[in-house]
Amino acid sequence: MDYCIETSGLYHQFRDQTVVEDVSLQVPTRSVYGFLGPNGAGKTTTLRLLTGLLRKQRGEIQLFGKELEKNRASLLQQTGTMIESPSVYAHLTAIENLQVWQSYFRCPDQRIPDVLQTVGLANTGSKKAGQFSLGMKQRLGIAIALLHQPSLLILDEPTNGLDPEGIIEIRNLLQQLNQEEGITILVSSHLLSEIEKLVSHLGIIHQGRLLFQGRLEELSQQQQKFSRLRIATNDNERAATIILQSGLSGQIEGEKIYLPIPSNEQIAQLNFQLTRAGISVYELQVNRVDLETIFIDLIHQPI
Amino acid sequence: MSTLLLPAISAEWIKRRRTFSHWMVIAGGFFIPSIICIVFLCYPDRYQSLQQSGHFWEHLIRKAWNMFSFFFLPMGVVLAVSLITQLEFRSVTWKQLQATPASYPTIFFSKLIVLLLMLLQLFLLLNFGLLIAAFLPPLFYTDLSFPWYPFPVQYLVATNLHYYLFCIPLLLLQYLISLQSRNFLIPIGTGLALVVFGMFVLSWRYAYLIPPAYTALYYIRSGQEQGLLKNLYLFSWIYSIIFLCSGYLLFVWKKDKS
Repeated sequence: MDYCIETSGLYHQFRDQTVVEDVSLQVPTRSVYGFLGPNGAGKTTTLRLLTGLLRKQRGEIQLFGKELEKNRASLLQQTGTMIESPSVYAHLTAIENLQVWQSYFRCPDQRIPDVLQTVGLANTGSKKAGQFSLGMKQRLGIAIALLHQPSLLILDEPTNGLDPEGIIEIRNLLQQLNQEEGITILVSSHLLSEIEKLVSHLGIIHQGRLLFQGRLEELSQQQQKFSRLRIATNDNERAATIILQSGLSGQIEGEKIYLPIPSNEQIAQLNFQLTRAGISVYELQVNRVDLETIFIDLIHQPI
Repeated sequence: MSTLLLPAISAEWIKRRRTFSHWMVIAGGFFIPSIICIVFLCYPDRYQSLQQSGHFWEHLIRKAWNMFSFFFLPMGVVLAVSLITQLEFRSVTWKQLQATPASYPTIFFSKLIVLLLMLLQLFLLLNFGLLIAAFLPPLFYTDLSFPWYPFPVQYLVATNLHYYLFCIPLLLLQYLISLQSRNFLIPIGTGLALVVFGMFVLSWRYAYLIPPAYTALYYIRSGQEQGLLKNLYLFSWIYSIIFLCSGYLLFVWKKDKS
């Protein structure tokens, strides 16, 4: 597979504290990669390493198949970033802010109205960025990242501080950029619910280690694996025997019987068999595990 | 570095728009001429006696630098450099700046060049202000004549060049300090302490070893001691090279560039 970002054995420590340990990211080209982890998991440090803001201590970083250290300028010319909070000069207008970055990236003047239009800040006129709401600053930060038409976007919690409507707008914008312009997007977040509708691939980091990496569907398959049918009866021992006899596997945990989720027909059949055997069924419930729970389970596993 | 240096300087020039340091350069440039002008308007006899001295322009220029060189110029340098550098810390833009294709030397030197240009701007405004201060009083007092004396261009340029040169070590030292600290009070506090220290050592035999004292030293003692001027040149260059190199290396070697 063609990877836009590839790291191997990435390691970083601040004083005695290891913040990133053996992180090997693989972000496929043209994917939207969600980099997920609780606060302090090492997301921002990893992103700062990827953009050269932190000097690499150990490991390899490749962007577009080239080593970052040796090709810094040319790789950053193709990369748009927004790390932590948006970088905005409060005393300048949105246009002036973009003019500053336009000089560094040497992109045409027309890009300024274009990106302002894209992020919905076209009508801010002479209003200084310092007077912008947090959401507007966030949009300006994204406009700065998009200004030079990068092939890769690295965004650190871009929806921070946005209202639900703003979150949806940014999500739609990123989806559009990925689908229509083929931009690879690496987006970090500490909330799975916030990015699960956006990403195609996911990396879960906790305490500096990458716990999961793969397609979102792979995580969804785990979701299937962990979801169970819960049954409570007046005679769990006999009910368990009947379940086994009907070709399903179940086990008693406390007052309940748990089994992998069978088909709807099998559930109905099982209920019929139990009641025909004179067992009172108190509860018959599908216990679906959502992605958030899997994420929480993953990060609470002992490392 | 070269291909992006000019665009980076242009970006730095945009950033300084409407900043306090931008207004400070404008106000600072016209401050001394305004005081001189007000004095002439209130006491026209002083204007007259300056005209009678036979060296109107030389005396006027020297009068301006008298006030400017002791405190306002070194203070202005400390404040402007600290404010311009702090702009990136305050706006949390170092991380964005360091993630552009601009190389570290480009970032370092573009900012420095803008600071040097701002210093040049300050000097130009001071000289322009002096011209206004010289021509304004005769407009208000008919008994005063316009100073149509030969203008000492060479003297003006030489004076400006000397002060400019003697400002550079302090500017580079302040740049070095300001780039290292997120906390605004550290560069400002250190810079002010250095300026005050520079004023205290003016009469010291080895005052030429203290860069913040250079502009005042040049004003009060260089005419009397030829050796001092040589030392000022020599140490200005030495300090400039030391502060420039160490400032650059500290900037490039910074582990966390955000």
